[in-house]
Amino acid sequence: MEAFSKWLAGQSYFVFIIAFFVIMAALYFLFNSMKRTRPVKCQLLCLAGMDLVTLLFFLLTFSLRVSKLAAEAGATPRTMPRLWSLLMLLVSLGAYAAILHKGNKPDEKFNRWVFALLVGVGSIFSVIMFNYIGYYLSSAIFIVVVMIAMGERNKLQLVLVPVCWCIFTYVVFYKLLFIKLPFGALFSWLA
Amino acid sequence: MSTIFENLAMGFGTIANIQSVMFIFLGVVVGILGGAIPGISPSMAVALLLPITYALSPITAMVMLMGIYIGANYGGSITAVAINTPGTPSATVTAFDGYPMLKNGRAGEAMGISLWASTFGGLIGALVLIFFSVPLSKVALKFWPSEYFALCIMGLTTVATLGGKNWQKALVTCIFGLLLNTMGLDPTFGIKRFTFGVTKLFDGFEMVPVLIGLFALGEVLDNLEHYDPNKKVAREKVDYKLPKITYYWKLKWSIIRAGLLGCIIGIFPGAGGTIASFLAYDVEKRMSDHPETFGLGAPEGVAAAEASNSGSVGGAMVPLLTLGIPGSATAAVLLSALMIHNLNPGPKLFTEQPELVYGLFASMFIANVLMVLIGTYGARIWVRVGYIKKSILYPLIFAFAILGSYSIKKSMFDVGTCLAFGLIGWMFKKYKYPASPLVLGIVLGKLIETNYVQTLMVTGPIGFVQRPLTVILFVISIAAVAYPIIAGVLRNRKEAEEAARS
Repeated sequence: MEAFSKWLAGQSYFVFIIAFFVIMAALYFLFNSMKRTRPVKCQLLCLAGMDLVTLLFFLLTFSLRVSKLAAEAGATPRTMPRLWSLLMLLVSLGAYAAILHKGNKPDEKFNRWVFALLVGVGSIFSVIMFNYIGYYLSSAIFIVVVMIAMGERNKLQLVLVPVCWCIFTYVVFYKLLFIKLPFGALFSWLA
Repeated sequence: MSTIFENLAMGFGTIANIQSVMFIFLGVVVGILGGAIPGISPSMAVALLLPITYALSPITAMVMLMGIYIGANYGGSITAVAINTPGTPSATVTAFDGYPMLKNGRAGEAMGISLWASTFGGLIGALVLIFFSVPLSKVALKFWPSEYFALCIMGLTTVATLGGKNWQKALVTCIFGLLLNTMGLDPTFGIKRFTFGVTKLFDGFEMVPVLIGLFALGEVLDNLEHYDPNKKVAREKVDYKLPKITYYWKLKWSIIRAGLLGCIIGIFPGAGGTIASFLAYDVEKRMSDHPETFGLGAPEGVAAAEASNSGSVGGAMVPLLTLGIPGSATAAVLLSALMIHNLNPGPKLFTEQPELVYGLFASMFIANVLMVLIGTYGARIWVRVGYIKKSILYPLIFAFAILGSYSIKKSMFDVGTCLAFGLIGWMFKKYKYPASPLVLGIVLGKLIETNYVQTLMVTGPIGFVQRPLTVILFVISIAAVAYPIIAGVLRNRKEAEEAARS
């Protein structure tokens, strides 16, 4: 087990993220294929996701170094993660049973989840753009785009809201709190 | 007793300066604004404003955050009365009678009652906090690590089991939070755990991005999913003129009863303002000479709901300040705020930082008094806050969340953490996994581990059963987990019997 744990610990976190999503996708199809689990598949997936992380942490505990002093005391760096993993196993079993219980409510239907996800992705894009066009321009564009996507058509508000936001952040964060927000490569180049 | 008053006077002295009062004022205004906007909970308001407090002194930061907490609890009642949409979950009960009062042309009365009941409920909570927490902190100073460990476990089980119908999910998120807390350097031996080669994870996750992600982004993403651009809030033209102060005298017993009840319920970890307001409303209805008027516009109903949820603020601060165990989701965020400012909540805080603790107590009185002024003169403005377009509000919350996460260490990694926990928070909200036990797990994890290891190193495993108090606390913890299981089995059996009979 220790050899496997050490091999696991040597992997990049990208590998874990990809493996996590692959397993979650497989579980989705598995839960969707069974009559009993289909109505609650997303609740089960949430739980399975947490259990996967728990399993990974448990396996990784075997690669943690244990000092003599810790071993003598009976409380090593492995102790707490293992204790929580064990408890997680117990409470997860209870949660699986509760979710699969007949009286449990089925999953909430998906509404405009693509839209919500796109806003989330947009915010990541906006953060990446901090380094290129700076915080102020990037956040202003993000606010305008989301406002338009949410159906806002009032031109005055579309202009005023991002401008006020930029002034507010500049005054409060830059001038009062001395937090230097990135101006970006574009403005550095212009300067 | 005289020491308490002397210390309280010192607390008033600590915050008797323009800067502190200004920040309390700002906190109350922001809190009322946040509370009045449906979709912004007190915990979300405090989490969003947390990054701004970095540049402030610990006392100024804490009094401002306390002001937000107090203001938000009242703010929730404004839209509950005005548009039958509670701004915060704890204001749900206020809408039961507040909105019917508005429909009956008594909007001003309803607004006035909610304001004054909130204020007096908050003051009762502050008084109970002072007189409860000081002796409790003296007892807690004598705790051994094993007792602390047992206490933390008890706090966690109580919180997790109070997840209502979803208690199993609450337990899962709580344990998951504890597991996530083990990331980074182990607190005793300094061994790297689950850092995946990322140096930024050596200290574990930064708390603020986690909080902002779970409470703010998760909530906004969920709201965006249910957003309907064609849905418009109907505006009603009503008169919000508040009655004279003498009008509220007849409600004094309702307010005192509900304030005390709210405060007592608030002391129990996980109970919070929502449960307090439901219970206080029920008690008031049972004690009323005219229970049939409840739900149709009974002033006692509004008073009970508001006094109890504001009273719960003081109650929730008792375990937070004395034991370092938060009594509500907002208290969990406040706990993180204390830690961010290098303050260790718990009994030592009373001896090491008395000016902060008593300053915080004093700020609760000032915040409640300011709330009356702000509430009285700004009633019409606060009502309009509820009408702010979601198409403006949500992008701004998003931008604020990103900015708040970035500004802590100017780290893109923290922004990524915030977004990742935002997605987790969204999924949790959508599939009814309570997020606050996760935060409690993350916040209390280190304390639990440190005390566990200390107990083992000092006394060995026998230390967990050596002292009676430790055993009692463990028994309560087991009972807290066993109770919902047994109650669930009994309920199912009863339902099955009833179904068989019919």
